[in-house]
Amino acid sequence: MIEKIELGLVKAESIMAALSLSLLLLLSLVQILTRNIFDFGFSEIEIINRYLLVICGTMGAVIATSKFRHIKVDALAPLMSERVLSLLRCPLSLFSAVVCVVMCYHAIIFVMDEWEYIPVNQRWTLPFTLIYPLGFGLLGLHFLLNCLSRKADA
Amino acid sequence: MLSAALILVVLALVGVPLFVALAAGGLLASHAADISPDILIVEMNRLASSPNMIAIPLFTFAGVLMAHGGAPQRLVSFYRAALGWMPGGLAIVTIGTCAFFTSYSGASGVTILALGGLLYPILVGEGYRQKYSLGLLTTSGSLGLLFPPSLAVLIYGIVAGVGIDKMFLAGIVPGTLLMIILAIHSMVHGKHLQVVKHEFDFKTLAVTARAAIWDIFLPFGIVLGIFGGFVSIMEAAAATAAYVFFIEVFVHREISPRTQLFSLLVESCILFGSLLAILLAALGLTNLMIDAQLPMRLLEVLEQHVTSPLQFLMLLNLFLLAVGAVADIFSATIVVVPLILPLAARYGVDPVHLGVIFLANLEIGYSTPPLGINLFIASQRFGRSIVTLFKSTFPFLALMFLWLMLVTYIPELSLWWKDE
Repeated sequence: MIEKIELGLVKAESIMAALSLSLLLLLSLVQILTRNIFDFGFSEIEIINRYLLVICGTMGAVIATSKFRHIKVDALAPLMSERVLSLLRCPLSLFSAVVCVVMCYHAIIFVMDEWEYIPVNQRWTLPFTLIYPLGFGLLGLHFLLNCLSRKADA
Repeated sequence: MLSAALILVVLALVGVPLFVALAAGGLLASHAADISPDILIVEMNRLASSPNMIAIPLFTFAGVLMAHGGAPQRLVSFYRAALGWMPGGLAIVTIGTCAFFTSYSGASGVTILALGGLLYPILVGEGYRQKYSLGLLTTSGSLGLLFPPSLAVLIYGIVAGVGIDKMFLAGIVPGTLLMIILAIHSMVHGKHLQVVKHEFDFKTLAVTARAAIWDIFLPFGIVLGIFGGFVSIMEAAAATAAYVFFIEVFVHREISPRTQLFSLLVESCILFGSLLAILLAALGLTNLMIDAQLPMRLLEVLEQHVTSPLQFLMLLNLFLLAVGAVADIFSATIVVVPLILPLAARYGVDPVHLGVIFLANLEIGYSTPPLGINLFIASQRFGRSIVTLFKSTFPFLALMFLWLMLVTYIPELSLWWKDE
């Protein structure tokens, strides 16, 4: 059941990641062409690209969590037995989940502040800011699933 | 506070992802400074708004496409045909190919994974000692870190507020110098071992050059585009990604857009995402350290004991070598650079020169125990212990240390382009 939920989540996140990176590349090329051929650029594209960058990076980080591919400096891990490592896996994932949930909470406050204080002409960018709480929320969820599903560390 | 920080370090050492440890550190630091942790998200949003950041996922995508499109094999064949006749020719091929590839993969270990398996059996098969081959491939995993479009240079430029074009220009001579030093060492070693030399064959060179020509011209295109003032860094990244996509899909036909493109896009996002998570998490922690006036306090202490720029540079190298041996390059850049920038300015060290020194130290740190990431990746790739790999890399590290001294104490190597 947990594996099924995780598989579905990773599929949706992969689609979001691939789409946002493709769009980032496409819009950057449009910007190069319009700047060099027509001598103007769309300021909206720059703002959208900024958020596409966060979306593809966040989704990448979320998928990396599910696939145990985050950068680690686990120098003590090679010195520990497989049994100790497997015992530690769940508590470490839970700790990571808690940190991500706390960050998610602060990201929600950040978004609420943005909604309150952002100038009217930039209101259209507000939905993009949701990526911060969504990203931390998904990271927390994947760490929790990593603990529950007891997958072996890659 | 100190005990909590120590617990975080231990948690990171037993396997908590680095970005989680850094984010927890940021939360702790904000709590200690009585500042709302919301500031961490504000800082993340600010870093993400840096226009040069967009170049990172695009160059990463280009690197992933090249790795899966057979560029390593094409480049090895070409360099082998071009340089295989020289004494130590294959070792020089290894140095050249790894440096080329690392400038795209950002020394994330991809070079050792992608090229190690390909080059190790060839090196040993041609008579190079196992120890030498392991050492060469392990240290070569971070060669090319100073060449365009290296992600490490991009991130240093963003964090230090230094022009990235200037950083790329500054890295060319030191980066080339290191390759020359290692190439000379390889030639001497190859001659000493009487390793097999290949007959130079123009026909083979022409065939392999034809296959690799699109790859070979890419770095020249990037350098020309950026330094010729034709494109910005972000535009160069977009053009590179589009160019590599075009050659791998339509020219070499190594990548199928229908069956492979989606997974390669996701792979690029995973590589970029795991990097972005660290950058964003480290930034909050760093800014809290700056708010706590840590650089100023450091400067006060330093001014009492360090009187000359030479002393400062010596101390800086010792400190950075230690940082490189225990931290990953990206979090080290975000956390350490803002702390040392004001100190370097006080002792008259140019921020561009500082960038080259910083990256040179971390390049060495990549292969230095206890936490040099190249050692871990090579250990996994070649199935050897960290101790064996460290012994193998030692002669190369000694040469790199000599190079570091040259780069540190001869600023002209990095700043030759600057008008006084």
